This record gives sequence, C-alpha cells and structure tokens, in this order.
Amino acid sequence: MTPVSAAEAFWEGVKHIFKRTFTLKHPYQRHEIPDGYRGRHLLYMDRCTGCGICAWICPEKCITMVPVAQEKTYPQNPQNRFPQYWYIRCCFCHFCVTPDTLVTTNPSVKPIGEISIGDRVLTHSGMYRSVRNIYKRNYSGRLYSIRPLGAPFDLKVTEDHPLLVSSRKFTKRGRFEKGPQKPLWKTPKDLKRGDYLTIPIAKEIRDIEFFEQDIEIGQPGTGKRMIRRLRLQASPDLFRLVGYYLAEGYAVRRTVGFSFGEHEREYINDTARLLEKFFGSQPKRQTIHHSTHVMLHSVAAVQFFSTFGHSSYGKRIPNSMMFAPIEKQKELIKGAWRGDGYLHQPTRSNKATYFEYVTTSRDLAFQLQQLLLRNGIVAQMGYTMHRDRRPAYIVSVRGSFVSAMAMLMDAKFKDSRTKTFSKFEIDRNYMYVPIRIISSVDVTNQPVVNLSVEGDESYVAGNVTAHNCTDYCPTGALDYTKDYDLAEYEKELIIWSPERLSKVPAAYEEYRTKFHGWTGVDHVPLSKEP
Amino acid sequence: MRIKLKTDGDIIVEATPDIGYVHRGCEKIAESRNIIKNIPMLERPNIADSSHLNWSYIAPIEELQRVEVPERGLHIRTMLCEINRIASHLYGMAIMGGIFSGHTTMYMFGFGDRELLLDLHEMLTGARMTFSFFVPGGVRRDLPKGFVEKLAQTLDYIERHLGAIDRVFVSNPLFVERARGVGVLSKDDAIKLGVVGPVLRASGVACDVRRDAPYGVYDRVDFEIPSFKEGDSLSRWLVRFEEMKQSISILRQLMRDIPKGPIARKSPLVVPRGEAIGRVESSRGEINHYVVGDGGDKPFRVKMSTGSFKNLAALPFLLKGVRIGDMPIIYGSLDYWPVEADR
Repeated sequence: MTPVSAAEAFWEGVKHIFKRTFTLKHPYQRHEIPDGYRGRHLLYMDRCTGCGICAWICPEKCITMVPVAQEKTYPQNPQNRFPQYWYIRCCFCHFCVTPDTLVTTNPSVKPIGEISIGDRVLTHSGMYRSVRNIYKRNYSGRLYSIRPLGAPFDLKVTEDHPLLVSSRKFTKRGRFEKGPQKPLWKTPKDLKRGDYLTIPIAKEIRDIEFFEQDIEIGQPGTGKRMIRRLRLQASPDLFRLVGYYLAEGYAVRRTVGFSFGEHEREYINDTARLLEKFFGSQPKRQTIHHSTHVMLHSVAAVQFFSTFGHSSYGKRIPNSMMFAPIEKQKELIKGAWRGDGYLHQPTRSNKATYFEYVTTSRDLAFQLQQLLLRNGIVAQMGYTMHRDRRPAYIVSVRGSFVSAMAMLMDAKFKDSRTKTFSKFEIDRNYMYVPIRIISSVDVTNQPVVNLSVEGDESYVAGNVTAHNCTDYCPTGALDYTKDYDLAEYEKELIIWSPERLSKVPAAYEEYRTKFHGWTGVDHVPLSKEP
Repeated sequence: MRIKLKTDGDIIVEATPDIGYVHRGCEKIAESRNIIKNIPMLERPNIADSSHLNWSYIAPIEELQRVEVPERGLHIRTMLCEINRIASHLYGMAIMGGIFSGHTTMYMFGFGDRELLLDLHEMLTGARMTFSFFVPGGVRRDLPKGFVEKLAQTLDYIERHLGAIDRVFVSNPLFVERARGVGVLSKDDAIKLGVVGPVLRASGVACDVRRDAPYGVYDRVDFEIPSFKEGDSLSRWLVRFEEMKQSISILRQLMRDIPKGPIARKSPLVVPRGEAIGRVESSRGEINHYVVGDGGDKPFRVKMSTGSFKNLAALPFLLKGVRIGDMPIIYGSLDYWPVEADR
C-alpha cells in the first residue's frame, strides 16, 4: 500500500519483460512427454490372446472385441479376436492396459486342463470361488518342477508364476529355522529346498438340518413312476453311515450293500442299526467266505447313496458334506476310516505308528485330506501303482498327529513312541508343506493353462496355492504410446481397427524439444521453425 | 449455472443461484458399475482437483474390504494430493484475480505455474488431470526415476514465484483494494451456513480434516492451518495463498521421509456388506463419499457431498446488499466449481 510496495510491483513487472513467455509455439515447439504417458494404445497382435479383459474393464465401453479377417493368423489367438477402440469415448484411464483387478484360479482335484468356466475352486482365502475364464497359451522359457513332501504329484509352473510360500532361513547349525513365517507370494526362482508351500484350509461352513432329494419310486416293468421327497435328518449318525458307504458300500440295481469282514461285529451292527433308522426297514445280512454283506433292498436308499458315487474309483463327497460343521465331518471320517483305513502299530519289520487310508478315488483322497485339515490334522498323500491294479491314493496321518487322529477315531491304543515330530506345520489358515525337490528345464512352446477366478487372486494347483498371473493384460499385448501421428488428424476418416492400433506411430523427432537442465518455464529451448 | 438477481438500481436485493445445468447423476450411475469402473467417473466432477475426489471414494471401499495401504502408497497418495492442491489453488487464484477482477497478469502467473505442476502429474500418473491413480489397496505406479529431483526443482521455482505474486498483488493496492472488505462472512454466519474449506478458514475457524481427522500420512507431517479473522474476499484469496506455502512445506517433508516398500496391496473386486464414509480435505473443502456395499462387485449406494455445494449456500447471503460490480469477485472468492456441486 505504500509507494515503495507499488514501486516493487512495478519493478517486478518490468523484470518480466526480459523473460521468455510462458507459452510454447505449438506445433513448432512441443514439450517432452515423459515415459508412461497415458496416450494412444499400442496393440501387439502377436501377443494378444483375445481374452477380452480389456473390453470387460473399460468404464466407457469403448472397446469391442472384433474378429479380424486377414491372411496372417496368430496361433495364440485362434478366433482372431482383437480389441478395437472407439476413441471418441475413450477417457484414457488405461485400466485396459493395467486393469488393477485381480483374478484367481485353481484346479481343486481335477487336472487344470479339465476345468471349465463356472467350476468352483479353492482359493488362498480358504473359500471356493467360481472360475471366470480360462487362458491357454504356449510358453517358452524356464519351466519349474516342484515336488512337495507328502504330495502325490509334481507341480509344474512357469518362471513368473507366483506361489504362496513361507520361506525358511538357515540357522547357525545349518538347519532350517523352526515354524512357518507369514506366507508371501514368491516366484519359483526364489524358492529353495525346505521352503514351505501352503495348502489352504477351506473355512466355509454351511450347516443343513435335512438332506432333501427327489427320488423316483415305481416298478420298472409297469411304467408307473412317482416322485417322492426323501428327507433325512443330517445328524452325525447319517454322516457316519455315509462314511461307511464311502469305504465299503456299493449300489447295484435296487440294492445297497456294505461288505465287512466277518469279525467286524461292531461295525456290522452299527451299519444295520443306522440303515434301519434312516430307511425304515431292516437290512439283510449274508456271509460269504468270511465277508459279511449288509444289504438293504430299497430304491430310495440306492438313489440317496448314488450321490456319493457308484464304484470305488468314483466315490466322492458332495458339497453339502464338505461344508458341514466339523463335528459332523468327524463322524464321516470315522466311518470311512473304519472301512478302508487302518492303524498301523509297530511290528518287527516296520516300527512306525500311523493311520492310513487307501482309495482308488482321487476326489475322495483329496477331500479326506481337506476334511482332516479342517480338524487340525495334517494328512499327507501318496500315490502307488501296482501291476493289474488301479493306481491308488494313500492318505496317511503320521508323526505327532497320530494322537489327535486316535482321539478323533476313539481308537484305544498304547502309544509306545517316546518321541514324535512332523515335518509339516498347520495353523488355522494353511497347511505348510516343505519342498522336497525343485528342478527346472527349458521348454519351448509348452502349452500352459491359467484360470481366472472371481473374487480372490489365487488357486490351488498340484495341491499348492498358486497365484494367477493375470494381474494385468495377461500377455502384455497392450501398451502405452506417448507419440501420436500428426498425419492421422488430417485424414478424413479414421477407422480405429486393430491393424491401426498395432501400427507404431511415427515419431516426429524434429518436433520434439528437450529440456536441458530445469529452471522453470523460462528456459524452454526453441527448436528450428520449419 | 446462472445467478438470478433482483436489483434496486446498482444494489442487489436478492440473488438466487440456479444450479443443476451440469447434473449427470453420478451417484445413480455408480450403482450400476463395478468399483474399478467407477473410479474415472467419480473423479470427473472436479477435474482440477480429481485426486481428492478419487481418494475420498476409495477410502470407504478400503475400509469395508479391510485392505491396508502400504506406507509408501500412502506417501505417494499424499504427495499427489498436495501437488494437486497447489495446482488447484493456483487455478482458483488465477480465476478470481485474473478473470473476475480483470488482471491478465494474475491469470498468466497462475496458469503458467500450474503448467509445471501438471507436468509433475503427467510424469507420475501419465495424465495431466483426472489421474484415476488411486485404486483400492494403493496406487497404480511407483515414483518414476528422477521425479523427486524434478519435484524439488519445481517447488523451488514455485516458491520463488509466489514471492513475485506477493510483490505484484498482495502488497500492491491495485488488487487488494478491490477485494478488501467485500463480501464479509462473519465467523458465526460461516458456521451457521455450513461452509467448508478455505471459505470457512477465512472467517476465523481453523477447521481442516487433515488435522482434525488425519488420513494418509498427515498425522506424521508438520503443517499449519492458515486462517484469517476478516472473512472478506481478500482473506479467502490469502488463505489459498498461504495454504500453497504449507503444501510446499508438506511436500518437502514427504520427499525427505518417503519410505521404501510396496506401493499397493491386492484387494478383492467386491464391496463387502456394510457402510463406510470417506473424509478428505480437498482444495474446495471437505469431500465425503458414503458407500454402502452388499457383497457384490458394485456399490449398493454412493453418496457424494462436496465442498462447492456447501460453499454455494453462502453466495445468496454474501450478495445481498452489495453492488453488482462486486459480484464477480465475491463469486470468484468462493472458488465455486459448478460440476462438483451438480455432479
């Protein structure tokens, strides 16, 4: 307000007369555009698999997947579908290049190649989620083969595929530190022998009071069919009966049978009692060659037990029982183990003490393992092949978990061991499995499969939690380009086809200016004016 | 937006703001899109200040998902927000001093300096405005190479140039006499009308979400909250001027203390059942996003409450009894952004 300050203001203005202007002489002068500028998209047509994630995430719906008819075909994109942009709508959020949304995958018990869209798979959070999409591609590079301890198969993963692991450090004496650390996502190249892989424990609990099922009743010859509602109380007893069926049962024509050894009086009586309780008629017993068959001639019972599989290799536990409360599942384990399982006690040749269960059903073996994990018991898996026999899966409980298993089974036995330990660890969320062997080979054009699962970001593969690779555009087919082709604007009609997207824009080096030392806008250098 | 005036000669008797010309129904559209697709749309209401809107929308979703943002992610968020705040204040000062009071110099100073901050936005996020940079769980990119050095140079330059603005306008009667004593909003009236942000602080209430309910890393940086007792148009302008200096100081502290580590955590693509609210101090006052989730990937309800709309309540009050010639400068001093109010 003083004359001095007014003079200062005037002097400040005078100083600016000798400085350069704020504005640039566009288009002769242009700012240097930094790397990563979210400009026009660039499509690598030889990488795009046509999965459509970019079209799904686009907020403005400006991306359409279009079939491209052309001479050259791309092996990774058999349908020849590529994204086409409608730039009038595009808001350049570039979520299509980096969707930032995460998808999860897994094969539960099926091989990964047999999974179809909509299947529900177990994820690292312990929940079952449905598969949204499946990606198959040919992979060239390093392929890692990991064999965990106590797992039947090797896990084959690509170099960049993250796994949920808890790595272990060496202690001073050259031993591994005890106990698992917090699991982290790591790629196979960071793993070593002894690191813990994780198997998630399913946490979902859905209790039901009654099993309800529509059954067909009627004589096959007369052609009369009636639909009746079968309603069985989902009590622990029913679970135990199902357990017996999983191990010993069979369903043939109109008969459900359970075959026990002649001496297993307790189990025979228990089964007969339960069958009478739930199906209302007394089962028959028949002893042939020291094996007692408990048989119930009931169409309702046959149709009920059909949901658990017919032959020994087709036995499986339905979802309703996998999600049942732990107390009920204990009875199922008990029933099944009484049939096919056994407790091995030390003999002269084999001094080990362990519980074992042998089955030819792959589904049942993995499901039993999962049920035991829910009960806090670590079960390891084995795989045996014998001549003239079906390959069998062995679920065994060993080491320090034997006592817990004995309590579950109500088995009274004297544990003669003085020391017990286990190489496995378990907590509320995961079972920790040490890596036994890890090796890698170079492969070319190896077909690999990846799944996209709703909600979580992971899946259980080869019984080990693996992360999905598709955080971003799975194959990196889309990219940013910061340069744009000035000549494009002079054309009358521009069709933003995949071919045009894939064309690298012309770089106008002569139009670009570069900053040499930043001192504010005053020093934007002038380039030659044409 | 338009303002309907009833005048008695030169004196305004009654002023009625007529809003709603740029209403797009963001809140309703948000219910039909998943949470990621909502990000670009819900930051559009205020393109000059989009990072604050973005954060305010992401915060309740993170609260519902129980995702914790890593420390480095929070630092980068705070950094971008403060750069954005300086840019937005320069914009507001330039509009008020330049367009509504007729000083081309102010307009050029404000927009010229803002250009450098937009370059920083561009370098960090890839976009000059409307960054869509914050996603649930963190930020989309790490600091690029050479960013901190460029930020330091730019801050030095801006600080130097704020001195020039001070000499040309603040200590010079040409601009000050136009704005002093015009549109006085007393402390009681400000509280009664429910204004927020710089308008409230210019009336003597030092109220700022950054200090009252700290989010990001604001509880770990030292800064002051400038406030003036006068409550006139000049003090509203000066609050922004002083806040820019505070933002520069915050940015220097953040540059010094930025930790190493991840920038984002994975987050699921669902809004879990529940409701949460985000509070963020934008350059036009407090912004809230209220999000209700029902377990799906789309929010069940999104409600926005923005600073511009709250501050507009003061406009009919301030315009009563002033001359028409003073109307532009009062309107400019509120830093009103029509789209943010209409959304």
